[in-house]
Amino acid sequence: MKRLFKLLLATIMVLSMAACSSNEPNTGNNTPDEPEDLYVIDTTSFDDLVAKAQEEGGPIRIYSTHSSVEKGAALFTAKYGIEVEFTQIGDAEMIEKVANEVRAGVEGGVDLIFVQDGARLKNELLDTGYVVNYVNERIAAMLPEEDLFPLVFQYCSKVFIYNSENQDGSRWENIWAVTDPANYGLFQMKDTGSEGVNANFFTMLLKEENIQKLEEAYKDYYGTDLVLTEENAAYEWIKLAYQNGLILGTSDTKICEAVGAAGQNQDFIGLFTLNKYAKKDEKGLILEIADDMNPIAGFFYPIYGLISAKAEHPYGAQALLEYLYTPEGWAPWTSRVGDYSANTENAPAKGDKTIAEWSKVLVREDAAFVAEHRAEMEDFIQSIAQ
Amino acid sequence: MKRKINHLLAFLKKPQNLILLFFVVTLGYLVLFPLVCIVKDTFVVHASEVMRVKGSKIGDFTTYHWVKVFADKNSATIFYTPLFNTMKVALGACFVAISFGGSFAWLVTRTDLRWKGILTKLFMFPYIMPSWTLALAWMNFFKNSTVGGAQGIFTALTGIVTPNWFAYGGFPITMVIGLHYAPFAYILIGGILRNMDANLEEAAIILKTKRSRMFMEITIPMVMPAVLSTFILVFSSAMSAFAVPQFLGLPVRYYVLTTQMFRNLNGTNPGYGYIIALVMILIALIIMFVNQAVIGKRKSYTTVTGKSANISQFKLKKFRTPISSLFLVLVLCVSVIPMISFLLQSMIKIQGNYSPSNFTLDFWIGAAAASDKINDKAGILINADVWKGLFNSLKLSIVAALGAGTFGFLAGYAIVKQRGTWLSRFVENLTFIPYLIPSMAFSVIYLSMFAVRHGPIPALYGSFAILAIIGTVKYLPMASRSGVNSMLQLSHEIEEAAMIVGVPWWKRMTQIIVPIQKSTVISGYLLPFISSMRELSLYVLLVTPANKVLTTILFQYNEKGWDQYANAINFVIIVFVLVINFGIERLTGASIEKGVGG
Amino acid sequence: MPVIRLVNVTKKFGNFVAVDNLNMTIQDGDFVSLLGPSGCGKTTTLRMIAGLETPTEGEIYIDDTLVFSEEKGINLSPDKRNVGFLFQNYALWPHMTVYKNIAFGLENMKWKKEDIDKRVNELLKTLQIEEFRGRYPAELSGGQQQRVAIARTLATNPAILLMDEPLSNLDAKLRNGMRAELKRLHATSKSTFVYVTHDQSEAMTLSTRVCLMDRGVLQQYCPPLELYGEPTNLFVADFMGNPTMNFVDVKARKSENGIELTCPSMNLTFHPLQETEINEADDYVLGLRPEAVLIQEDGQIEGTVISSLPSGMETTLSIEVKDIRLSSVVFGNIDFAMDSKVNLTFKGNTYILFNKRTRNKVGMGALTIK
Repeated sequence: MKRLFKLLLATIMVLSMAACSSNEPNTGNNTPDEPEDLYVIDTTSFDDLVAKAQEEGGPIRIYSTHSSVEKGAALFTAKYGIEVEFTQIGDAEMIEKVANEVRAGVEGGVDLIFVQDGARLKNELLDTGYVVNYVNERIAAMLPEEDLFPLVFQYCSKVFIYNSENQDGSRWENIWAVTDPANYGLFQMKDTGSEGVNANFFTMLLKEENIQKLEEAYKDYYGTDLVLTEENAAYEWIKLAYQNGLILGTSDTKICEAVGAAGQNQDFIGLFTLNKYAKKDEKGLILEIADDMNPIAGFFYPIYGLISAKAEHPYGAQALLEYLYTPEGWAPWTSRVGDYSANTENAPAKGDKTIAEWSKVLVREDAAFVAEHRAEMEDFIQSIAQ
Repeated sequence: MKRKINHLLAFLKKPQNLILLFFVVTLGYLVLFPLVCIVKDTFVVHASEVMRVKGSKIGDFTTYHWVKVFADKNSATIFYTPLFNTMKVALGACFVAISFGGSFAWLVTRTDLRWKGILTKLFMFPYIMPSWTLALAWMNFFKNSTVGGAQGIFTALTGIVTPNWFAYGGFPITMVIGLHYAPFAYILIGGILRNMDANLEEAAIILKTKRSRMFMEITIPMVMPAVLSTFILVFSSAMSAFAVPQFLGLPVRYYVLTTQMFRNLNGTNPGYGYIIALVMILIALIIMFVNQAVIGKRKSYTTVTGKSANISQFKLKKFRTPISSLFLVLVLCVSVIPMISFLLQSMIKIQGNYSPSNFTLDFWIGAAAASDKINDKAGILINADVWKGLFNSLKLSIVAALGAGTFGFLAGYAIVKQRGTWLSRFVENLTFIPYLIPSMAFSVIYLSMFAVRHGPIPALYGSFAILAIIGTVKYLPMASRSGVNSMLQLSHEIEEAAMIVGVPWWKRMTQIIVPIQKSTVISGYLLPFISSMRELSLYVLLVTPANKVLTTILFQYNEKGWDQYANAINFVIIVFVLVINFGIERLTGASIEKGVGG
Repeated sequence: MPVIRLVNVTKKFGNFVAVDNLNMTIQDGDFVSLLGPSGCGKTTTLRMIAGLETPTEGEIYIDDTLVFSEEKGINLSPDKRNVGFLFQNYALWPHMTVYKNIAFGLENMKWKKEDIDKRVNELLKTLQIEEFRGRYPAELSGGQQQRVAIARTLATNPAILLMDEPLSNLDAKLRNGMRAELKRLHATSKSTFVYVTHDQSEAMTLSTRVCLMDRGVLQQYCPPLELYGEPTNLFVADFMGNPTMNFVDVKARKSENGIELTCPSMNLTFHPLQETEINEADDYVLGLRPEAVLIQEDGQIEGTVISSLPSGMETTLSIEVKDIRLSSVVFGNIDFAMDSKVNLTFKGNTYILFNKRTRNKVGMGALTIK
């Protein structure tokens, strides 16, 4: 046995010196600096795109973090006769997958992705050149310029929503309420480790303006100045929230159901996608939106639409991407609360506010900022998670 | 020189040597090489870590991960606490599995327990179910108000609110994993109890040994090797269990090594993940070596079967019905009742509301509704995705089972034929290593190994082949162990008799060895098949949309909270595996029990 | 004082009758062999005496204590029957050392440590296995394991020692040695031995009485030489002896000289020692032990040597007489040429006549050749 072990060790050493040296592509620092280099505005007409796409044939393969894309793509197929293969995958997994697919150059890889989590997207897919930020004239005309890189397809919002069966919203008017020991164990949200946008929200709190807002809100709530035990008010709030019995979930659907179920004697509050709130009546949930939450009622984050660097159907992907921005392609979303097209011509669903209105109370995910600071936040959460 | 060449030629003339060499090469690449890669990956800056390791480029050498994991102010939360939790859970699961499975084995083999036939069949259910579905069943039953939502069935029925420690965290994780692997204990310990020479106990009785002393000093030591092998199997399985702690631990932020590894691998610091994987492999290796040292050779347990096949059964007397009923209830609780709960949950619209008006078959056969409705997907029986997943699961499981079963049997054959040589021992250990590598770490490594071309080996990422390979390799230990065990029982003379008359090797295999070992061979296929059908963590990172399997769809649905669909799919998987399992058992006489080596 | 008494003991496994209405008394100090082909019920009988198997019917007494009665619902457990049991495969506990194996039973009887030590050492010495005291069974040879098993069984000084084919796993040479030791052991220990074997020579050489069984039924229970010399039926006659007894199908008729036996190859007159009834309609079988088929120059029956198997001490011949074959044992160091002619004759009172239909012995006596 001893001999065997020695042999094993020897083999490992020899192999480790020689063998696996080329797993990671050497694409570390080719990040372009100037915005002009980030993307080229394509001038091909839509009809030409469609014609070329039809030549390419199908199926155009899509990965998306959200399911509605499937229905929009179905409209595209019905109209132009190009098949689409749709797959829904979570953000972390998708980024990993796309990077691997492009590196391996697999056949049948993805063409078009709709992905959230700007921090990882930027670091792992854009900066490495695994995906292309495709923009054409018409898309550029539909969107505000800051949405063109990385190309935002739509926004989603996650807001504080509470169970209103036994109370009005007065309990949840200040964000520090979730850290109040009187509200122990009532706050639920999705694990930052299982969905990056939540970590990005925490990261965004580190922005100076948000730190200030938090400090002010603390004074509003308790009447005294915040005494820091951590570096700043953002860390302080997160730590206190965790210590105050924060419940982590794996899915917004479940959190929504858990918070809103009728007949509970606990007044739960959750931070989850507004879209889940829309299904409350059908599910018999009793929920209200805490949009008075001071100073921050939640956050909204972009879902980016990007094309694989090794796409087998690049024109199909381009045409489809453009199509989904148009009111015609956006049709499946029109009744969805909490989803907002980056094309401001597409109005939000009935009963919902526009993204411009929301941005007054919600924090917007900024890809550059979160890409820079996300790691610090993860380390911090790591240190308080248990 | 010439003599050496002749030696070599003589060596290569024996098919078993060729087989061993084949395994050295292929497993060297598929098992040892990944180990090496894990080691390497702990020292490298990965794409997602550039923002963390300041001033580094991808692929740079770094000790950052090691320092952070072991010697940082956050090391406790990153590593030590999860490690401690893992140990607690794994040891606890071993205790649960061995005490529950072992006592059940004793009752079945040694007493006049009632309803043995049905009990033993039902007892296998938890093993056949994907392990995390038992966790979901636990939640369905014992959920308390901590996480909100509809209350658990137990609370609904009794009005008793389950305490937090009972509903989430270490205790339920331990229980669920323990119950999931209790069939292992039953199979292995029951196997020994059944085959154990009854004379050993009779000799003790004649010498006026008290029942208690006999049990403690004869029966227990005799089943000790089985207990130890159960311990190793359950411990390493429990240690690498991912989905159960993910579901039951997360709400109260109870992390174990696997969930921590998943966070890290799937998050922005895979380097930590690789270190954790390495630690887990090391722990498993240490346990294996300790085990070999403890059992040793001195107290060899080769049992000459005695005459008294019909050992007198212990009469439970007035306890017969109570004990039988107790076990019936327990076994039903972990077999049929979870299934009923899955079926129920798949048919109700609003959770926790069991009134008839709330029941629907939409989630089974309804067409997809608009995207703002609950039933926004097609019912699973008319859902093309689900069918494709089922087809892929079947295809993959069959290929992996054929691969693992065939190679495992060949490995068993060659290992036994050359027993005593270092080559044989080397291959035997090599075939066992995949068992020790946590599934998730294994798949992560394959992901990066096969993402690019290595010499003649093409990039396999995204292909069906990579799934087939990892399935085959991961389940090889099961098949090779049962192969070794069964070949040990087959006398060399049987093959030698054919060699004398010049029957070529492949004919000896196909017409003599395999037919004799038929039921072992088929069992060697059955266990990998079932394991693969309900495997998740091994495949979850490697599947691409084109070849996603049913369990990954199920996990995704579970995570997303599409409970009704998820429960329906889960029910389908379990029923499917059960039907196949009992069908094969009936047709061929093979069984999981034989596959495990009982 | 009878030590073990079995009364109408029957054991069934399902529909299979393993032991059928067995009646037997084993006297104090006897060495009784239970002999028979495999499946005859001998091991079952032994295990029923020990209490390891429960009879379906009947009663068993040990030392006048009723240890089992189906009728009265008595069933003493094995540990209360004061017997020792030696298993065929020794049943040594593999996880205990030799010493511990032997001491185990004594510990059960709450002996003092010094006493145990003394007793175990004494046994180790007697059985010449002192040097193995610290070893595990797997590290011992078959013969050594056997000695340990005997030591373990003897440790508690059981008055009755039950042995289940204890020598069958040993090679021939060891077996002979152990036989002698067992016989000495019996003589010195003054215990009652009940010994199961399928080896007739073991039963013959060791026992004071042999109980021959077939298909669960007791065939004959008597001292070994009587079993050999005066078998009560064809089964016993055939089972005992090597080479086996010669059987010649004959017709029998009473005359004033005795009983006239006719068969195609020879005509004989049988002179029974006791008055014997003959039914001329029945077929009979004449049994001749090979050593009672004598080769003599003046023998009246001529035969041809088919084979000659000299072993040094004796030579076994197969001789053809017209259409029958007889085996004969000639003592001394002689060989016969193949196909040579020899003359046969009969002497003594050891010839036995059986009724072919009932298979029972009809009479025993001398033969003359006509």
